[in-house]
Amino acid sequence: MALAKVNAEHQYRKLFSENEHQKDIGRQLDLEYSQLQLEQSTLSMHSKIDEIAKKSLKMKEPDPKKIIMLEQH
Amino acid sequence: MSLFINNKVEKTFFELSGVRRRWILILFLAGFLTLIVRALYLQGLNKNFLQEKATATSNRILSLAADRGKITDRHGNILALSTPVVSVNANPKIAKVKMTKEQRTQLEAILNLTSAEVDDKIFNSTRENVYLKRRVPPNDADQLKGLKIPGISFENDFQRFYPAGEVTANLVGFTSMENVGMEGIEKAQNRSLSGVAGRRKVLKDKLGRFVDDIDDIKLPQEGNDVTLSIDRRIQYLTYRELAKSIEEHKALAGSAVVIDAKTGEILALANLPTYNPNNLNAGSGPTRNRAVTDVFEPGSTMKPFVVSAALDSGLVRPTQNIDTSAGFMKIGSFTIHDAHAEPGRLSMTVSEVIAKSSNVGAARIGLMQDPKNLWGTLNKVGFGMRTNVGFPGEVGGVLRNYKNWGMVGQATVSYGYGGINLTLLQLAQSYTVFANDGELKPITLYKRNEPVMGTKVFKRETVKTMLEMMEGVIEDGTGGNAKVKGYRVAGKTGTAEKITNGKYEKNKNIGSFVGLIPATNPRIIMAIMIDEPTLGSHFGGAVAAPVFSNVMTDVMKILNIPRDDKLPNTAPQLERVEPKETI
Repeated sequence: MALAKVNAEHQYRKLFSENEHQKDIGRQLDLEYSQLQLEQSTLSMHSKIDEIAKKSLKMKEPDPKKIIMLEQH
Repeated sequence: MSLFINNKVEKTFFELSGVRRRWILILFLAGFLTLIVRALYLQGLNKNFLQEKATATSNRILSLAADRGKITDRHGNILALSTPVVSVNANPKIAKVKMTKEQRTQLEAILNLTSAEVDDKIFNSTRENVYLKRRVPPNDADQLKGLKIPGISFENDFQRFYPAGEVTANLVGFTSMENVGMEGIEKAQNRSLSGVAGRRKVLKDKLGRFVDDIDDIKLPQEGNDVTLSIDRRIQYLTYRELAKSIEEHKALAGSAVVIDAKTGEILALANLPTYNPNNLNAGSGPTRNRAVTDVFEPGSTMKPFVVSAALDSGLVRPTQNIDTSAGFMKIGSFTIHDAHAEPGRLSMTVSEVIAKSSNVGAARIGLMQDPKNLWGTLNKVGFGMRTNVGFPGEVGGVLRNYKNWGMVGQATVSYGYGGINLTLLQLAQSYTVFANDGELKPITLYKRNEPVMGTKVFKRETVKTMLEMMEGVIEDGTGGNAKVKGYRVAGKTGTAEKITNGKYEKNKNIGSFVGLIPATNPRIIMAIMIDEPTLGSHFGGAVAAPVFSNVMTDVMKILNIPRDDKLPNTAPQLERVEPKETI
């Protein structure tokens, strides 16, 4: 009986420790996520896209006269 | 009796070792006594001390920090985010003696500190604990932790990042080193954003792993996220074009606000000058959100309300001629001038009063009305009252009571001078009446999920007529620069002299413009204000109207708003292909 209790307690603590470890990993991932969110946010700034489109991709805004509006029916 | 006999027999058996037996007995007793005394000493007198000691080695109280909530725009793009960082502390007394030369060089390299700074913080310090460096990225801190430098400790902390930087700085605000909101939305929503830190008590094993919870865990309450009504793309465009105009006209400052005309949500709110909230120590200090905290005399942007009030009560018709007396009007000793007067022209229609922005005409139309009714209309569109958008430091401006107007007061209020001032936000909000069949929609900085009720101010017909008049401002009036290809625009320019020490200054102006687009059924309202333009023209039509045109050209594309004006179609005509029936 007593030995069973000791064994159970030991198993419990082992699992608890493992759980803590996993939570730590979770926190690390949270951190990484927030950093990636920041990065995504910075990279998707309108100014950045605008600059890349105009400078490196040499894109131009179409002349409004060349845009054909499709009527909705 | 028999017991006595037995005893006697045994006694004879042990008789030989009598002395030795006593000695042994005494020894045992002494031994037990020592144990009892020791036990009493440990359990009775020293109990608390020892228990604490044991707990201290195996138990640990952890503070569970609560994340400060995010601030995002209406599409979930991040405008403010907390990420974990580490503060590096030093105990100078220990570090001075125990830190090796090699460790010091590595410390300087990782924390990017100069040798002098380390000297200053550690070697010349008499304090118990100093911040060696705050807000160190977690990776650098881990590297430093690995070095195990004596006297150096670490503290978990959060830092706020603002990806949009100066574009949203005056709006979003910033937090203090202690993560308390100091300005802007960060301040207004501090309580909701902050959350509450939790704590837990854990049992450690000899390797320092946590093996059990001892007390109940008090979970941290994470801070709530705040979703603004801002659209980051529109915000950026507004900021860019505003900056361009300020640069071009060498102006002191400027503000612009874009609102969704139907819902009252603020899509962009930009101010210049601004600052970089990610690096507050360097360069210019924080600047306020002028569109919300600063008032100015609106000037001609007031006229549509005065004329609408007259149309609404049937006092004038759009085609009616108003005596404008060649751009001069005298009330007692007070003279009203027209800035855009045509020489020799004695009268204008009501529509032209708006299009040409005639002060004399507006004053005459203002004076036709009962002061109480006129005041009532201006009050209903929100002048003299805060908009309550939920921004700290908002002011409501002034609308002087009609009882104190007098003739001159009533005339000047009619073209936006004297006895009235307002914020750019109030001005933008007031124009929602022209986009909602005469209903004023309360504006907000936070995303709305359901439509909001408005307050009826003008009749539907009045608003329709006024929109046509304001189209005239763009088509052949003072606001020609606000044209947007493919769309009909309604709007009104304004130019007001600034007041310094109670006097108007001729060469210090505020140029403004408020526009509605598309004019057939306005979806967007934009108000722009440029403070003290010094280079080139100072008129609202020259400094503020182009900002409208530039921003709206792109906003119409971003929001996919259909054109309401026919363009000469020079694009190759596509043949219409009838869709084939499938299946």
